[in-house]
Amino acid sequence: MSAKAIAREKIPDAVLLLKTKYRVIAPVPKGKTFVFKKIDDPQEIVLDYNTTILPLKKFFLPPREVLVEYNLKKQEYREPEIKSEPTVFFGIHNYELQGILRLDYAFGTGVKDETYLKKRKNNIFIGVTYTPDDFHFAKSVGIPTDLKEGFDIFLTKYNSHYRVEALTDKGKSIVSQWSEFLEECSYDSDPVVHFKNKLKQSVAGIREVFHGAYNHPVWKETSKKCYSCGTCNLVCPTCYCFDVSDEVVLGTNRGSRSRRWDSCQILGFTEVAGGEAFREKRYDRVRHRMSRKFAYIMDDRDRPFCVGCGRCIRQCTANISITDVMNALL
Amino acid sequence: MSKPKVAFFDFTSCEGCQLSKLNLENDLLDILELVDIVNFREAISDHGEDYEIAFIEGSISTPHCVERIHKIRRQAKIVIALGSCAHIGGINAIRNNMDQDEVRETVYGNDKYLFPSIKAQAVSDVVKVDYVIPGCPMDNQEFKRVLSALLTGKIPEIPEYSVCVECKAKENECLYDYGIVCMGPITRAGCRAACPTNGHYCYGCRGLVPDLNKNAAKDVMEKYKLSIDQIKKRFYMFNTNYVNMEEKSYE
Repeated sequence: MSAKAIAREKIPDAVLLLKTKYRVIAPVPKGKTFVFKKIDDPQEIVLDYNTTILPLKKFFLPPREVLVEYNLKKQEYREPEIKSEPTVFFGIHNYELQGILRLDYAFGTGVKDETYLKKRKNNIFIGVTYTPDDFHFAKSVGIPTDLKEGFDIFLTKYNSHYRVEALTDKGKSIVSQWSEFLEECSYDSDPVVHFKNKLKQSVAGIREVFHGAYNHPVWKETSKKCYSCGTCNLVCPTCYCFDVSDEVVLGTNRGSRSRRWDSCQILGFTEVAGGEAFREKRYDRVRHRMSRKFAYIMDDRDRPFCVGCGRCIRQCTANISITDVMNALL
Repeated sequence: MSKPKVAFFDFTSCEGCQLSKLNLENDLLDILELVDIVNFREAISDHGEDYEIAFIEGSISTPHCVERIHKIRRQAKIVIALGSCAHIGGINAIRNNMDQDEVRETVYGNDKYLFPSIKAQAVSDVVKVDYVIPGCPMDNQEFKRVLSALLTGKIPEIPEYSVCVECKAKENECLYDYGIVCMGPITRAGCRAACPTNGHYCYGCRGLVPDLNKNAAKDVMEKYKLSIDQIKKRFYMFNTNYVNMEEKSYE
Protein backbone atom coordinates (compact mmCIF):
# COMPACT_ATOMS: atom_id res chain seq x y z
CA MET A 1 0.00 0.00 0.00
CA SER A 2 1.19 3.53 -0.53
CA ALA A 3 0.76 6.42 1.83
CA LYS A 4 2.22 9.71 2.93
CA ALA A 5 5.19 9.69 5.23
CA ILE A 6 7.39 12.21 6.96
CA ALA A 7 11.08 11.69 7.60
CA ARG A 8 12.11 12.03 11.24
CA GLU A 9 14.37 15.03 10.52
CA LYS A 10 11.51 16.95 8.88
CA ILE A 11 9.38 16.83 12.05
CA PRO A 12 10.77 20.08 13.56
CA ASP A 13 9.97 21.96 10.34
CA ALA A 14 6.45 20.56 10.32
CA VAL A 15 5.99 21.69 13.94
CA LEU A 16 7.41 25.11 13.16
CA LEU A 17 4.69 25.54 10.55
CA LEU A 18 2.04 24.50 13.11
CA LYS A 19 3.40 27.08 15.53
CA THR A 20 2.45 29.93 13.20
CA LYS A 21 -1.22 29.16 13.87
CA TYR A 22 -1.37 27.15 17.07
CA ARG A 23 0.02 26.75 20.53
CA VAL A 24 1.89 23.44 20.31
CA ILE A 25 2.14 21.09 23.29
CA ALA A 26 4.52 18.12 22.94
CA PRO A 27 6.73 15.78 24.99
CA VAL A 28 10.18 17.11 25.93
CA PRO A 29 12.86 15.52 28.12
CA LYS A 30 13.08 16.35 31.83
CA GLY A 31 16.11 14.67 33.41
CA LYS A 32 15.64 10.93 33.00
CA THR A 33 12.01 11.28 32.02
CA PHE A 34 9.64 13.44 29.97
CA VAL A 35 6.96 16.09 30.39
CA PHE A 36 4.35 17.70 28.13
CA LYS A 37 5.24 21.31 27.56
CA LYS A 38 4.40 24.27 25.37
CA ILE A 39 6.96 24.20 22.59
CA ASP A 40 9.17 27.18 21.87
CA ASP A 41 11.85 25.37 19.92
CA PRO A 42 10.60 22.33 17.93
CA GLN A 43 14.05 20.74 18.26
CA GLU A 44 13.20 20.03 21.94
CA ILE A 45 10.49 17.54 20.99
CA VAL A 46 11.23 13.87 21.59
CA LEU A 47 8.84 11.48 19.85
CA ASP A 48 10.56 8.34 21.16
CA TYR A 49 9.44 8.58 24.75
CA ASN A 50 7.92 6.04 27.10
CA THR A 51 5.60 8.36 28.96
CA THR A 52 5.52 11.71 30.76
CA ILE A 53 5.43 12.35 34.53
CA LEU A 54 1.97 13.91 34.39
CA PRO A 55 -0.71 13.10 31.81
CA LEU A 56 -2.33 15.65 29.49
CA LYS A 57 -5.06 16.27 32.06
CA LYS A 58 -2.86 19.00 33.57
CA PHE A 59 -3.87 21.29 30.69
CA PHE A 60 -7.60 20.75 31.18
CA LEU A 61 -7.77 20.14 34.92
CA PRO A 62 -4.73 21.97 36.34
CA PRO A 63 -3.34 20.92 39.76
CA ARG A 64 -4.94 24.05 41.19
CA GLU A 65 -7.38 26.45 39.59
CA VAL A 66 -9.65 29.26 40.73
CA LEU A 67 -13.33 28.53 40.11
CA VAL A 68 -14.80 31.79 41.34
CA GLU A 69 -13.62 35.05 42.85
CA TYR A 70 -15.85 37.04 45.19
CA ASN A 71 -16.22 40.08 47.36
CA LEU A 72 -18.00 39.40 50.63
CA LYS A 73 -18.97 42.99 51.31
CA LYS A 74 -20.29 43.80 47.84
CA GLN A 75 -21.83 40.32 47.56
CA GLU A 76 -20.41 39.99 44.08
CA TYR A 77 -18.71 37.14 42.33
CA ARG A 78 -17.22 36.43 38.96
CA GLU A 79 -15.73 33.43 37.22
CA PRO A 80 -12.26 33.85 35.79
CA GLU A 81 -12.18 34.00 32.00
CA ILE A 82 -11.00 30.76 30.44
CA LYS A 83 -8.98 31.05 27.28
CA SER A 84 -9.24 28.19 24.84
CA GLU A 85 -6.36 29.05 22.58
CA PRO A 86 -6.19 26.88 19.43
CA THR A 87 -3.79 24.16 20.49
CA VAL A 88 -2.13 21.22 18.80
CA PHE A 89 -1.19 18.35 21.10
CA PHE A 90 1.64 16.78 19.16
CA GLY A 91 3.19 13.36 19.68
CA ILE A 92 0.46 11.96 21.89
CA HIS A 93 0.16 8.25 22.70
CA ASN A 94 -3.28 6.78 22.17
CA TYR A 95 -3.82 5.78 25.83
CA GLU A 96 -3.20 9.43 26.70
CA LEU A 97 -6.04 10.62 24.49
CA GLN A 98 -8.19 7.77 25.80
CA GLY A 99 -7.61 9.30 29.23
CA ILE A 100 -8.90 12.64 28.00
CA LEU A 101 -11.94 10.94 26.46
CA ARG A 102 -12.69 9.38 29.86
CA LEU A 103 -12.41 12.80 31.50
CA ASP A 104 -14.77 14.23 28.84
CA TYR A 105 -17.24 11.58 29.88
CA ALA A 106 -16.81 12.38 33.59
CA PHE A 107 -17.06 16.15 33.19
CA GLY A 108 -19.53 16.23 30.31
CA THR A 109 -22.16 13.75 31.50
CA GLY A 110 -24.91 14.89 33.86
CA VAL A 111 -23.92 18.19 35.46
CA LYS A 112 -21.51 19.72 32.98
CA ASP A 113 -18.25 21.11 34.29
CA GLU A 114 -17.78 24.19 32.12
CA THR A 115 -14.42 25.05 33.67
CA TYR A 116 -13.11 21.82 32.17
CA LEU A 117 -15.18 21.70 28.98
CA LYS A 118 -14.25 25.21 27.85
CA LYS A 119 -10.61 24.17 27.75
CA ARG A 120 -11.49 21.20 25.54
CA LYS A 121 -12.49 23.50 22.68
CA ASN A 122 -10.05 24.20 19.84
CA ASN A 123 -7.92 21.13 20.51
CA ILE A 124 -6.18 19.18 17.77
CA PHE A 125 -4.52 15.87 18.56
CA ILE A 126 -1.66 14.40 16.59
CA GLY A 127 -0.89 10.90 17.77
CA VAL A 128 2.21 8.78 17.56
CA THR A 129 2.86 5.09 18.12
CA TYR A 130 5.06 3.95 20.99
CA THR A 131 7.05 0.95 22.11
CA PRO A 132 5.61 -0.35 25.38
CA ASP A 133 8.11 -0.44 28.26
CA ASP A 134 7.93 -2.73 31.34
CA PHE A 135 4.90 -0.86 32.67
CA HIS A 136 2.49 -0.07 29.82
CA PHE A 137 -0.44 -2.48 29.67
CA ALA A 138 -2.84 -0.50 27.47
CA LYS A 139 -3.71 -3.47 25.27
CA SER A 140 -5.05 -5.33 28.31
CA VAL A 141 -7.55 -2.54 28.94
CA GLY A 142 -8.80 -2.46 25.37
CA ILE A 143 -6.36 0.07 23.89
CA PRO A 144 -4.14 -1.67 21.29
CA THR A 145 -1.37 0.55 19.86
CA ASP A 146 -3.21 1.01 16.56
CA LEU A 147 -6.36 2.49 18.13
CA LYS A 148 -6.70 5.96 16.59
CA GLU A 149 -9.97 7.13 18.13
CA GLY A 150 -10.05 10.88 18.71
CA PHE A 151 -6.94 11.79 16.74
CA ASP A 152 -6.92 14.29 13.88
CA ILE A 153 -3.64 12.98 12.55
CA PHE A 154 -1.82 9.80 13.49
CA LEU A 155 1.86 9.06 12.98
CA THR A 156 2.97 5.44 12.84
CA LYS A 157 6.67 4.97 13.35
CA TYR A 158 8.72 2.93 10.92
CA ASN A 159 12.52 2.97 11.03
CA SER A 160 13.45 6.45 9.95
CA HIS A 161 10.08 7.89 9.05
CA TYR A 162 6.50 8.17 10.23
CA ARG A 163 3.47 7.20 8.21
CA VAL A 164 1.06 10.17 8.24
CA GLU A 165 -2.67 9.52 8.39
CA ALA A 166 -5.14 12.40 8.36
CA LEU A 167 -8.27 11.22 10.15
CA THR A 168 -10.46 14.33 10.31
CA ASP A 169 -11.06 17.45 8.22
CA LYS A 170 -8.87 19.47 10.56
CA GLY A 171 -6.20 16.82 10.18
CA LYS A 172 -6.48 16.82 6.41
CA SER A 173 -6.12 20.56 6.26
CA ILE A 174 -2.90 20.40 8.33
CA VAL A 175 -1.49 17.54 6.24
CA SER A 176 -2.18 19.50 3.04
CA GLN A 177 -0.07 22.36 4.43
CA TRP A 178 2.69 19.89 5.20
CA SER A 179 2.99 18.74 1.56
CA GLU A 180 6.56 20.01 1.17
CA PHE A 181 7.69 17.78 4.08
CA LEU A 182 5.90 14.64 2.96
CA GLU A 183 6.98 11.85 0.67
CA GLU A 184 5.30 8.83 -0.82
CA CYS A 185 6.03 5.61 0.99
CA SER A 186 4.94 2.04 0.86
CA TYR A 187 4.38 -0.23 3.81
CA ASP A 188 3.22 -3.77 4.29
CA SER A 189 1.56 -3.76 7.66
CA ASP A 190 1.58 -2.05 11.05
CA PRO A 191 4.63 -2.70 13.21
CA VAL A 192 4.17 -5.61 15.61
CA VAL A 193 3.99 -4.50 19.23
CA HIS A 194 4.43 -6.62 22.35
CA PHE A 195 3.34 -5.66 25.83
CA LYS A 196 5.45 -7.11 28.63
CA ASN A 197 3.02 -6.01 31.29
CA LYS A 198 -0.49 -7.36 30.99
CA LEU A 199 -3.66 -8.39 32.76
CA LYS A 200 -4.47 -12.10 32.82
CA GLN A 201 -7.90 -11.39 31.45
CA SER A 202 -9.25 -8.84 28.99
CA VAL A 203 -11.49 -6.08 30.27
CA ALA A 204 -14.67 -7.74 29.07
CA GLY A 205 -16.32 -8.99 32.21
CA ILE A 206 -13.70 -7.50 34.50
CA ARG A 207 -16.38 -5.71 36.50
CA GLU A 208 -17.72 -9.09 37.62
CA VAL A 209 -14.34 -9.96 39.11
CA PHE A 210 -15.08 -7.52 41.91
CA HIS A 211 -18.14 -9.46 43.01
CA GLY A 212 -16.99 -11.38 46.03
CA ALA A 213 -13.56 -9.72 46.02
CA TYR A 214 -14.39 -7.31 48.84
CA ASN A 215 -12.53 -9.34 51.44
CA HIS A 216 -9.75 -10.62 49.17
CA PRO A 217 -6.37 -10.74 51.01
CA VAL A 218 -4.70 -8.70 48.24
CA TRP A 219 -6.14 -5.46 49.64
CA LYS A 220 -4.49 -5.86 53.04
CA GLU A 221 -1.26 -7.17 51.53
CA THR A 222 -0.99 -4.21 49.17
CA SER A 223 -1.89 -1.69 51.86
CA LYS A 224 1.04 -2.82 54.01
CA LYS A 225 3.36 -1.32 51.40
CA CYS A 226 1.32 1.81 50.71
CA TYR A 227 2.28 5.22 52.16
CA SER A 228 -0.96 6.81 50.95
CA CYS A 229 1.10 9.53 49.30
CA GLY A 230 -1.46 9.84 46.51
CA THR A 231 1.04 9.68 43.65
CA CYS A 232 -0.94 6.94 41.85
CA ASN A 233 -3.99 9.21 41.66
CA LEU A 234 -2.16 12.40 40.83
CA VAL A 235 -0.31 10.92 37.85
CA CYS A 236 -3.38 9.01 36.58
CA PRO A 237 -4.89 10.24 33.29
CA THR A 238 -8.41 9.35 34.44
CA CYS A 239 -8.34 10.42 38.10
CA TYR A 240 -10.20 13.68 38.36
CA CYS A 241 -11.24 14.00 42.02
CA PHE A 242 -10.61 17.41 43.45
CA ASP A 243 -11.04 19.25 46.72
CA VAL A 244 -12.64 22.69 46.83
CA SER A 245 -11.60 25.32 49.32
CA ASP A 246 -12.31 28.97 50.05
CA GLU A 247 -9.73 31.51 50.96
CA VAL A 248 -10.32 35.09 52.03
CA VAL A 249 -7.35 37.43 51.69
CA LEU A 250 -6.29 38.52 55.17
CA GLY A 251 -7.80 41.85 56.18
CA THR A 252 -9.96 42.21 53.05
CA ASN A 253 -13.37 41.16 51.76
CA ARG A 254 -11.84 39.55 48.70
CA GLY A 255 -11.81 35.82 48.44
CA SER A 256 -11.64 32.98 45.99
CA ARG A 257 -12.87 29.44 45.71
CA SER A 258 -10.43 27.07 44.09
CA ARG A 259 -10.05 23.40 43.43
CA ARG A 260 -6.96 21.27 43.62
CA TRP A 261 -6.21 17.65 42.75
CA ASP A 262 -7.11 15.28 45.54
CA SER A 263 -6.50 11.58 46.03
CA CYS A 264 -8.72 8.83 47.36
CA GLN A 265 -5.62 7.28 48.98
CA ILE A 266 -5.37 10.15 51.46
CA LEU A 267 -7.26 9.79 54.73
CA GLY A 268 -8.58 13.36 54.62
CA PHE A 269 -10.30 12.62 51.29
CA THR A 270 -12.70 10.24 52.97
CA GLU A 271 -13.37 12.43 55.99
CA VAL A 272 -16.66 14.22 56.34
CA ALA A 273 -17.97 16.86 58.74
CA GLY A 274 -17.60 15.72 62.32
CA GLY A 275 -14.41 13.83 61.58
CA GLU A 276 -16.00 10.55 60.45
CA ALA A 277 -13.97 8.79 57.74
CA PHE A 278 -15.71 6.35 55.43
CA ARG A 279 -12.52 4.58 54.42
CA GLU A 280 -10.42 4.90 57.52
CA LYS A 281 -8.34 1.77 56.90
CA ARG A 282 -5.60 1.95 54.31
CA TYR A 283 -6.79 -1.25 52.65
CA ASP A 284 -10.26 0.28 52.22
CA ARG A 285 -8.63 3.04 50.22
CA VAL A 286 -6.45 0.70 48.16
CA ARG A 287 -9.52 -1.36 47.28
CA HIS A 288 -11.50 1.76 46.48
CA ARG A 289 -8.99 2.96 43.89
CA MET A 290 -8.95 -0.35 41.99
CA SER A 291 -12.71 -0.82 42.27
CA ARG A 292 -13.34 2.63 40.94
CA LYS A 293 -11.04 2.11 37.98
CA PHE A 294 -12.44 -1.27 36.94
CA ALA A 295 -15.90 -1.65 38.43
CA TYR A 296 -17.61 1.46 39.79
CA ILE A 297 -17.10 3.69 36.80
CA MET A 298 -17.24 2.79 33.15
CA ASP A 299 -17.94 5.17 30.29
CA ASP A 300 -20.96 4.77 28.01
CA ARG A 301 -19.10 2.14 26.00
CA ASP A 302 -18.46 0.15 29.15
CA ARG A 303 -14.75 0.78 29.14
CA PRO A 304 -12.89 0.96 32.47
CA PHE A 305 -11.34 4.13 33.83
CA CYS A 306 -7.84 2.76 33.42
CA VAL A 307 -5.97 3.31 30.16
CA GLY A 308 -2.91 1.17 30.89
CA CYS A 309 -0.32 3.95 30.77
CA GLY A 310 1.51 2.36 33.71
CA ARG A 311 2.28 5.68 35.38
CA CYS A 312 0.96 4.58 38.78
CA ILE A 313 3.34 1.60 38.69
CA ARG A 314 6.31 3.49 37.28
CA GLN A 315 6.05 6.27 39.83
CA CYS A 316 5.07 4.34 42.95
CA THR A 317 7.87 4.67 45.49
CA ALA A 318 6.62 1.58 47.27
CA ASN A 319 6.58 -0.56 44.11
CA ILE A 320 2.86 -1.28 44.09
CA SER A 321 1.59 -2.49 40.72
CA ILE A 322 -2.02 -2.16 39.63
CA THR A 323 -1.54 -5.10 37.25
CA ASP A 324 -0.18 -7.34 40.03
CA VAL A 325 -3.13 -6.44 42.22
CA MET A 326 -5.64 -7.04 39.43
CA ASN A 327 -3.96 -10.30 38.41
CA ALA A 328 -4.28 -11.52 41.99
CA LEU A 329 -8.04 -11.12 41.59
CA LEU A 330 -8.35 -12.57 38.10
CA MET B 1 -15.40 45.05 68.47
CA SER B 2 -11.98 45.40 69.99
CA LYS B 3 -9.05 43.90 68.19
CA PRO B 4 -7.75 40.58 69.54
CA LYS B 5 -4.50 40.91 71.44
CA VAL B 6 -1.71 38.80 70.07
CA ALA B 7 1.66 37.92 71.55
CA PHE B 8 4.74 36.23 70.13
CA PHE B 9 7.10 34.34 72.41
CA ASP B 10 10.42 32.75 71.62
CA PHE B 11 11.84 29.68 73.31
CA THR B 12 14.86 27.64 72.21
CA SER B 13 15.22 28.53 68.54
CA CYS B 14 17.03 30.66 66.03
CA GLU B 15 14.10 33.13 66.14
CA GLY B 16 13.96 32.95 62.35
CA CYS B 17 10.25 32.15 62.35
CA GLN B 18 9.48 35.33 64.25
CA LEU B 19 11.80 37.39 62.14
CA SER B 20 10.33 36.05 58.92
CA LYS B 21 7.09 37.74 59.87
CA LEU B 22 8.79 41.08 59.54
CA ASN B 23 9.27 40.11 55.88
CA LEU B 24 5.52 40.29 55.41
CA GLU B 25 6.08 43.93 54.55
CA ASN B 26 3.12 44.25 52.21
CA ASP B 27 0.75 42.79 54.76
CA LEU B 28 2.10 44.06 58.07
CA LEU B 29 -0.09 47.17 58.11
CA ASP B 30 -3.16 45.07 57.24
CA ILE B 31 -2.33 42.69 60.05
CA LEU B 32 -1.93 45.56 62.50
CA GLU B 33 -5.37 46.81 61.48
CA LEU B 34 -6.80 43.49 62.60
CA VAL B 35 -4.87 42.65 65.76
CA ASP B 36 -3.03 44.37 68.59
CA ILE B 37 0.44 42.96 69.01
CA VAL B 38 1.30 43.31 72.69
CA ASN B 39 4.43 41.20 72.91
CA PHE B 40 6.95 40.62 70.13
CA ARG B 41 10.54 40.80 71.33
CA GLU B 42 12.02 40.90 67.84
CA ALA B 43 9.92 43.85 66.76
CA ILE B 44 8.62 45.93 69.68
CA SER B 45 9.87 46.89 73.11
CA ASP B 46 6.50 46.61 74.92
CA HIS B 47 5.89 43.51 76.98
CA GLY B 48 2.14 43.28 77.50
CA GLU B 49 0.90 40.40 79.62
CA ASP B 50 -2.70 40.68 78.49
CA TYR B 51 -3.25 38.63 75.31
CA GLU B 52 -5.66 36.12 73.83
CA ILE B 53 -3.61 34.51 71.07
CA ALA B 54 -0.06 33.34 71.76
CA PHE B 55 2.29 32.29 68.98
CA ILE B 56 5.12 30.16 70.34
CA GLU B 57 8.42 29.73 68.61
CA GLY B 58 11.13 27.32 69.76
CA SER B 59 11.37 24.10 71.71
CA ILE B 60 11.00 23.60 75.44
CA SER B 61 14.50 22.79 76.63
CA THR B 62 15.07 24.17 80.14
CA PRO B 63 13.16 24.07 83.46
CA HIS B 64 12.66 27.81 83.00
CA CYS B 65 11.01 27.18 79.59
CA VAL B 66 8.55 24.82 81.26
CA GLU B 67 7.63 27.45 83.82
CA ARG B 68 7.19 30.17 81.18
CA ILE B 69 5.10 28.06 78.80
CA HIS B 70 2.71 27.10 81.60
CA LYS B 71 2.28 30.75 82.45
CA ILE B 72 1.54 31.60 78.81
CA ARG B 73 -0.92 28.73 78.53
CA ARG B 74 -2.80 29.96 81.60
CA GLN B 75 -3.20 33.42 80.03
CA ALA B 76 -3.82 32.64 76.34
CA LYS B 77 -7.11 31.40 74.94
CA ILE B 78 -5.37 30.07 71.83
CA VAL B 79 -1.81 28.73 71.68
CA ILE B 80 -0.22 28.22 68.28
CA ALA B 81 3.13 26.51 67.78
CA LEU B 82 5.22 28.26 65.13
CA GLY B 83 7.85 26.35 63.20
CA SER B 84 9.57 22.99 63.58
CA CYS B 85 11.16 23.57 67.01
CA ALA B 86 7.84 24.41 68.66
CA HIS B 87 5.91 21.87 66.59
CA ILE B 88 8.11 18.75 66.91
CA GLY B 89 11.29 19.73 68.76
CA GLY B 90 13.04 20.12 65.45
CA ILE B 91 16.77 20.49 65.06
CA ASN B 92 17.21 21.15 68.78
CA ALA B 93 16.16 17.59 69.47
CA ILE B 94 19.23 16.18 67.72
CA ARG B 95 21.05 16.69 71.05
CA ASN B 96 18.53 14.52 72.86
CA ASN B 97 20.51 11.48 71.78
CA MET B 98 23.82 12.83 73.07
CA ASP B 99 25.19 12.77 76.59
CA GLN B 100 23.35 15.72 78.17
CA ASP B 101 26.21 16.62 80.49
CA GLU B 102 28.61 16.75 77.57
CA VAL B 103 26.19 18.92 75.63
CA ARG B 104 26.04 21.43 78.50
CA GLU B 105 29.81 21.45 78.79
CA THR B 106 30.25 22.04 75.06
CA VAL B 107 27.90 25.00 75.13
CA TYR B 108 28.59 26.59 78.51
CA GLY B 109 32.05 25.28 79.45
CA ASN B 110 32.79 25.69 83.13
CA ASP B 111 29.51 27.53 83.70
CA LYS B 112 27.49 24.48 82.78
CA TYR B 113 26.07 24.19 86.32
CA LEU B 114 24.48 27.61 86.02
CA PHE B 115 22.35 26.53 83.04
CA PRO B 116 20.21 23.51 83.77
CA SER B 117 18.58 21.98 80.71
CA ILE B 118 16.17 19.19 79.83
CA LYS B 119 15.72 17.28 76.58
CA ALA B 120 14.36 19.51 73.80
CA GLN B 121 10.64 18.93 73.48
CA ALA B 122 7.76 20.13 71.34
CA VAL B 123 5.47 22.67 72.99
CA SER B 124 2.67 20.12 72.81
CA ASP B 125 4.74 17.73 74.97
CA VAL B 126 4.33 20.20 77.83
CA VAL B 127 1.08 22.11 77.36
CA LYS B 128 -1.98 21.88 75.13
CA VAL B 129 -1.40 23.39 71.69
CA ASP B 130 -4.43 24.44 69.68
CA TYR B 131 -2.91 24.83 66.23
CA VAL B 132 0.44 24.49 64.53
CA ILE B 133 2.14 26.27 61.65
CA PRO B 134 4.89 23.76 60.79
CA GLY B 135 8.14 24.14 58.90
CA CYS B 136 11.69 25.37 59.18
CA PRO B 137 11.20 28.22 58.79
CA MET B 138 7.42 28.39 59.05
CA ASP B 139 5.71 29.51 55.86
CA ASN B 140 4.45 33.08 55.86
CA GLN B 141 1.61 32.33 53.46
CA GLU B 142 0.43 29.62 55.81
CA PHE B 143 0.77 32.03 58.75
CA LYS B 144 -1.51 34.47 56.94
CA ARG B 145 -4.02 31.72 56.16
CA VAL B 146 -4.10 30.54 59.77
CA LEU B 147 -4.45 34.08 61.11
CA SER B 148 -7.16 34.84 58.56
CA ALA B 149 -9.08 31.72 59.59
CA LEU B 150 -8.77 32.55 63.30
CA LEU B 151 -9.99 36.10 62.77
CA THR B 152 -12.96 35.01 60.66
CA GLY B 153 -13.96 32.32 63.15
CA LYS B 154 -12.94 29.35 61.02
CA ILE B 155 -10.81 26.41 62.08
CA PRO B 156 -7.32 26.90 60.63
CA GLU B 157 -6.52 23.98 58.37
CA ILE B 158 -3.11 22.77 57.32
CA PRO B 159 -2.56 19.95 54.81
CA GLU B 160 -2.69 16.42 56.22
CA TYR B 161 -1.34 14.83 53.03
CA SER B 162 2.30 14.28 52.09
CA VAL B 163 4.81 16.46 50.24
CA CYS B 164 4.53 14.04 47.26
CA VAL B 165 1.15 15.61 46.47
CA GLU B 166 2.67 19.05 46.00
CA CYS B 167 5.79 17.64 44.36
CA LYS B 168 3.74 15.76 41.75
CA ALA B 169 1.66 18.86 41.05
CA LYS B 170 4.94 20.57 40.13
CA GLU B 171 5.85 17.62 37.91
CA ASN B 172 9.22 17.12 39.58
CA GLU B 173 11.22 13.97 38.92
CA CYS B 174 11.18 11.67 41.91
CA LEU B 175 14.47 11.92 43.83
CA TYR B 176 14.27 8.22 44.69
CA ASP B 177 14.89 7.56 40.99
CA TYR B 178 18.28 9.15 41.58
CA GLY B 179 18.93 6.98 44.64
CA ILE B 180 18.32 9.92 46.98
CA VAL B 181 16.42 9.28 50.21
CA CYS B 182 13.68 11.88 50.48
CA MET B 183 11.31 12.39 53.41
CA GLY B 184 8.62 13.62 51.00
CA PRO B 185 6.37 10.54 51.01
CA ILE B 186 5.85 10.74 54.77
CA THR B 187 6.22 14.46 55.48
CA ARG B 188 3.27 16.80 55.90
CA ALA B 189 2.81 19.06 52.87
CA GLY B 190 2.23 22.81 52.85
CA CYS B 191 5.68 23.94 51.71
CA ARG B 192 4.73 23.62 48.01
CA ALA B 193 7.52 21.00 47.85
CA ALA B 194 10.12 23.76 48.07
CA CYS B 195 13.16 21.51 48.61
CA PRO B 196 12.52 18.78 45.99
CA THR B 197 11.53 21.45 43.46
CA ASN B 198 14.93 23.03 43.95
CA GLY B 199 16.77 19.73 43.63
CA HIS B 200 17.20 18.86 47.29
CA TYR B 201 15.61 15.99 49.19
CA CYS B 202 12.88 16.75 51.71
CA TYR B 203 14.25 17.10 55.25
CA GLY B 204 10.92 16.42 56.91
CA CYS B 205 10.86 19.83 58.62
CA ARG B 206 7.06 19.95 58.67
CA GLY B 207 6.81 16.76 60.71
CA LEU B 208 5.32 13.47 59.63
CA VAL B 209 1.90 12.92 58.11
CA PRO B 210 -0.72 12.01 60.74
CA ASP B 211 -1.67 8.84 58.84
CA LEU B 212 1.80 7.28 58.76
CA ASN B 213 2.38 3.74 57.50
CA LYS B 214 5.24 2.86 59.81
CA ASN B 215 6.33 -0.40 58.23
CA ALA B 216 6.11 0.53 54.55
CA ALA B 217 9.73 1.70 54.34
CA LYS B 218 10.91 -1.90 53.97
CA ASP B 219 9.69 -2.18 50.40
CA VAL B 220 11.07 1.21 49.45
CA MET B 221 14.46 0.20 50.87
CA GLU B 222 14.37 -2.97 48.80
CA LYS B 223 13.32 -1.24 45.59
CA TYR B 224 16.01 1.44 45.80
CA LYS B 225 18.61 -0.67 47.65
CA LEU B 226 18.83 1.59 50.70
CA SER B 227 20.00 0.78 54.21
CA ILE B 228 18.07 1.40 57.43
CA ASP B 229 20.81 3.84 58.49
CA GLN B 230 20.29 5.95 55.39
CA ILE B 231 16.61 6.24 56.24
CA LYS B 232 17.16 6.88 59.94
CA LYS B 233 19.69 9.60 59.21
CA ARG B 234 17.04 11.55 57.37
CA PHE B 235 14.67 11.27 60.32
CA TYR B 236 17.22 12.61 62.80
CA MET B 237 17.41 16.03 61.16
CA PHE B 238 14.01 17.23 62.37
CA ASN B 239 12.22 14.18 63.70
CA THR B 240 14.55 12.83 66.42
CA ASN B 241 11.77 12.96 68.98
CA TYR B 242 9.57 10.83 66.76
CA VAL B 243 12.28 8.18 66.27
CA ASN B 244 13.03 8.10 70.00
CA MET B 245 9.37 7.74 70.88
CA GLU B 246 9.00 4.90 68.37
CA GLU B 247 12.12 3.08 69.53
CA LYS B 248 11.01 3.39 73.14
CA SER B 249 7.66 1.84 72.26
CA TYR B 250 9.46 -1.22 70.91
CA GLU B 251 11.62 -1.70 74.01
